[in-house]
Amino acid sequence: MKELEFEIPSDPEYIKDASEKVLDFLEEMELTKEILFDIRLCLEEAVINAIKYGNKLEKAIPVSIRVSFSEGRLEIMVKDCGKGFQYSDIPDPRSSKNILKHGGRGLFLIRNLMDEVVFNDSGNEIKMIKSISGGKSDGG
Amino acid sequence: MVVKEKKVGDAVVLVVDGEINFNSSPDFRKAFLKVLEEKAQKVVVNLSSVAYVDSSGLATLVEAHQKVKSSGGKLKLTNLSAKVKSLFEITKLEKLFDIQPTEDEAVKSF
Repeated sequence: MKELEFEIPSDPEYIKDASEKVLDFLEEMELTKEILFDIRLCLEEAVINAIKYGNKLEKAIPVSIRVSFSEGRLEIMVKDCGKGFQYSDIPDPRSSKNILKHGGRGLFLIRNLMDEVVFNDSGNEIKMIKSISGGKSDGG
Repeated sequence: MVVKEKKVGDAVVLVVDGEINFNSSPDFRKAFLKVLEEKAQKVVVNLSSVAYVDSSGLATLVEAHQKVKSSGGKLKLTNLSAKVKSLFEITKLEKLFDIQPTEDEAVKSF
């Protein structure tokens, strides 16, 4: 089991720092560029939601990130300190009435690119799970 | 991210270099608003040097598409990487945009 846990301030300037830290952590697994793109995108989308909607861009409030990898299963958890949101109410951004809307695609992309997405009851923590095959995927 | 503007015939081509993400999409927005102020009717966005787009970037491209359309013009995208194109496919934005393989083909297709 490999694990990484850290916090960032609720400041958009730290979004890329967070994803670089996670991708560095995953480097020795020699994952494909395509999988790394998906992981980075899902992590950054979750972090943006946590910073913007969860912690309302209050820099002093942290966003927690935990990544673990074991037996071909990658888990990424992103948690904010907000009240949570009704994730089940997010409309389908592909429908004709929503296709021109600004929001709604981040979570939709996460759901499409990850194998499993789980929220806690209060809706302020998202756990994204991806099965990784190939590469050095046993995680040490 | 850097956006360079050039004229190719009567089309305006925006060549984007870098990522269109949460932090950089306001800069991309400024670039296409400037093109709109110049009353451009044929706009091409060349994404050959864009390896990463997030949902904010997609939303900003949708806004550009709508603003150009509502001013009577047309916007086309070109040179999408396979990964960036896959995001347009997942979100069905490929049906909203005219996506051409190359800048040349995009300019000729107006």
